[in-house]
Amino acid sequence: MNKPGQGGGGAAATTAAAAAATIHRQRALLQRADADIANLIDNFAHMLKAARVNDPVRNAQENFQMDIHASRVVQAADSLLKLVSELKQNAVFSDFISLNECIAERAARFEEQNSDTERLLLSVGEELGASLVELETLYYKSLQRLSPAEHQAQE
Amino acid sequence: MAKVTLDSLPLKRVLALEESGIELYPPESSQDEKPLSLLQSLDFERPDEKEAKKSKSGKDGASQWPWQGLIEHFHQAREELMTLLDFIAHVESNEALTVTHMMKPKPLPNEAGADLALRTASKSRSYKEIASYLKRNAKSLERQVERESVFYGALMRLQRNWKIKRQRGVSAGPGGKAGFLMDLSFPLSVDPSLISSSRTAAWTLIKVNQDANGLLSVQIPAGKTITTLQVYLSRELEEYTSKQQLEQPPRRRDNRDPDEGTSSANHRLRNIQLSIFDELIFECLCRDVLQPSSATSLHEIGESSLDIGAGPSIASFFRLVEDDAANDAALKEVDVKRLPLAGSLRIYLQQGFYSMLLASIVQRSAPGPRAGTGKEEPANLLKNFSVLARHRSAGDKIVSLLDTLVLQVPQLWFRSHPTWRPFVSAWDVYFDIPEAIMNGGQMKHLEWNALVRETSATFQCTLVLRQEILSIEGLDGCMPLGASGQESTGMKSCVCSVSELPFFLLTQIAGKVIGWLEEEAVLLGPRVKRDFLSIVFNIQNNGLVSLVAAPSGYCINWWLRFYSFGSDDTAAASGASAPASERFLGPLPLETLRAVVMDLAINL
Repeated sequence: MNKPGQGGGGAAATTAAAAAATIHRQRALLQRADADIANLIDNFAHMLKAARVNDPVRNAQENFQMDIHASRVVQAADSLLKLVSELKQNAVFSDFISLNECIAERAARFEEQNSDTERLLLSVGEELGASLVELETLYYKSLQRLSPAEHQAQE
Repeated sequence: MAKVTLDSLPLKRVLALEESGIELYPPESSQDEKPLSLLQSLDFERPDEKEAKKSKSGKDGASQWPWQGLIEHFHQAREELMTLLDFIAHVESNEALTVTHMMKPKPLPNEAGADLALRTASKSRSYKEIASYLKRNAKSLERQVERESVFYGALMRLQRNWKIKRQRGVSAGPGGKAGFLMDLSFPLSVDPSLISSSRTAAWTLIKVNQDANGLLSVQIPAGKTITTLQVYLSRELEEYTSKQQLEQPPRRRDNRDPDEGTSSANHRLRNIQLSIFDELIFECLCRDVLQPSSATSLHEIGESSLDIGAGPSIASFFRLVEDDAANDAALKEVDVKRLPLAGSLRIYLQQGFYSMLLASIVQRSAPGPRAGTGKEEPANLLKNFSVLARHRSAGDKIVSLLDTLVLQVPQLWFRSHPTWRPFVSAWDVYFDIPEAIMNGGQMKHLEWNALVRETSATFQCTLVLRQEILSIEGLDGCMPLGASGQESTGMKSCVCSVSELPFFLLTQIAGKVIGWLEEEAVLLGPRVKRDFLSIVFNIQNNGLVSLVAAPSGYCINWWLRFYSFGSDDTAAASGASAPASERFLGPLPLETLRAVVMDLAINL
């Protein structure tokens, strides 16, 4: 008696867990995106702050700092691109809604092609039959006819 | 001799220890006293000078220049000063002392401007280097973005047609392995006995790679090639053979245009899938032929070739040929004789196999118990193919027979009656006598609303070949002479074998011609009788003359037989008694026959 309920409850729990995992993952991705963007902006701001001309020692120090900030900017951009790749991969493997729609659309299109092909085949068959009748009538009612052996010999 | 003295270590040594345990340290000297103490520890005199001094003090005599002492003092002061300077320089370089104040000269305005310009230039150079670094990285990132957009766009388009899996442990990246696989395996609902094959196991997962431009490329597994199934039928013809150009199977061109990544990958995957299907069909045929219930005989079986006997004088050849390999080598093995279209046979096999797959999917996915599964026979691809091969062979024989008949018999013609079913073929056979011959060579004017006289000389029937059984339909009562099977008049169809078909048709035609000739002769006189395939003319007191039709081979031969006076009319008419004389006329045209009958009717 309780098994269907338990089964239904189990399915509902699985769905809820999956939904929670999805939300958590979505948040993690958003956080990653925000962190990368903030990182990028901060390092760029630091680079601009070091634009002031000071004494040589400080200038050398700031040069090293600018190199590091620039590499961090590039690193943040690369991380963002990897995030984009990951999102695209998720879209390839997890976008079931659009996949199902696409499959349904293709199935409908193939059904239509199937019926069109059948109609085309029927029409081709009718034309073939009519042409065959004409050709055979002409051939067998003509006075001069070649036997298959004579035809082959001519070839 | 040099003397080395060592200063005491800069350690705080305990001077005394009181009874209460308190340690007494020496007083620390102040910062000003430290250098003084260090200076005081300096000994400016050299040891040799000290010895010379001592010796001089002993030699002090009366001879002494009055200014000698001053000069010596000056020398000593100079040496002390030099020592001090060296000491200061040494101490300063070791940073034992800090220079608290240095008097530097004031920089000039141009020097200050130059210094600022130098610093600005160095800052500007560092910024330019960073800008170039960022530009290089931006370009490489842009290229990466383009590559990935092309790749993922193509992958998403491919995903609409194919099943994509991710290869674990490999990440997608530019110019390297993409980490994606195309799964070409069949769904679980398909009967495993149909798709189990060692050949196709390597084709199940196909790697998808990304080249340097980001385009998709499908990689064929090592050691595998795309193959095509070729089917041939061979039949030994008794009368003639004709070599026909074998129809080449359509080659599956591999589109290598790099600009069409998705379409080329799609094309290649489709070729691989078709190759898989062909290999599965081949495996299915091999399994079927090895079953004991198979109605075919096995001649030869190999890894990619199968020769079987589908029926009497019918051999079937199946070959798995690589697409790029020359097909001529495979064709030379086959003794090419008159062959049906090889492409249609391959299509029939493919369609049969697809039907079996679909039926297994429907059967497995249908809920509830399956009705009648124990009674139905499993679909046998080879059996159906053998039936088709035998049907085709029989159809070819019938067409060749009819061709020959039509050549030999004027006014006989036939036309194919397409049924569009694989195991049913039909032909309509017609025989009619032209109006000109019927009217004795005179054209007759017909009113537009005049009915066309229906004569008994018109003959029409339909030959229907179902699998290997030939039936003749549409006859006005079968003429059972020489025909096998059901023999009853008034039936619209009867069964006939292919070898007996010419004789059967000629008999029917001869009967029609005899009937027409009788009608023509009766108009001129009542002394004409008809007996099955002969017309008997009663000669006044002289006997009987009969014109007899004798179908033989592919034509109707005519005989003129004379029965002498005294013979029993009945016996003569029935042909039971031997004719007094007979004359072989051979195959005569209809107008000649009519003329003969007219002459006989008029003169006799």
